[in-house]
Amino acid sequence: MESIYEHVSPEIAAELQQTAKVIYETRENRRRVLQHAGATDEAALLDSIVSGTVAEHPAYELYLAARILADTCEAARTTLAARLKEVNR
Amino acid sequence: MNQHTELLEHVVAHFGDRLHGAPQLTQDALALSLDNGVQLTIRYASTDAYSLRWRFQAGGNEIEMGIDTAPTHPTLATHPNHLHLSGGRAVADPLTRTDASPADNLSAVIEALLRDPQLDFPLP
Repeated sequence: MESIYEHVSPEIAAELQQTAKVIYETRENRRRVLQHAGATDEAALLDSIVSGTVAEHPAYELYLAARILADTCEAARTTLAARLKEVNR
Repeated sequence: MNQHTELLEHVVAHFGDRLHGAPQLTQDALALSLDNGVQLTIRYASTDAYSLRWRFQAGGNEIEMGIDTAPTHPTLATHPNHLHLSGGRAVADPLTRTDASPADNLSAVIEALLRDPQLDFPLP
């Protein structure tokens, strides 16, 4: 299978790999945070906090962490897609 | 640039001489040590979804307090943001606003913590 890095300079390949690493890490860290909180997603965790089925703290910090990680992951995905489009022109 | 990176730059520019050691930027939080012994952890997901929690020593005990926007105290005047006192009781938030910028809110909290980590509230 052809590598996506095959036709780019080593510097750009390193940049793309770094962004891909951020995507992987933030996705996995979000999964671990939600698992630790016993929730399937951010909305479910917030519902549990509001209903009082989990203690407000540290559950709310876990909720915020999951949101921040999801946003960072999405931003990195967008960056990677845009950069790939640019270097493949 | 994400929110925490911007906040880190803001803190270094405005409070750099009051920090103790280098701020810690992780993928989900920004942690600061102030030169009066306060350890502050910041999680800012959006302008109306944040948590600012701090620890410090007082009377030989480690005290933890925090301001956050968990929608759990609907009767407080500042809902959703509120302040947790060291005993856990929640009161109206005297420092931040959900319509203010994250940098302005963080500045207000750091300035207050440098004056008094207990924010003039008595220990439990």
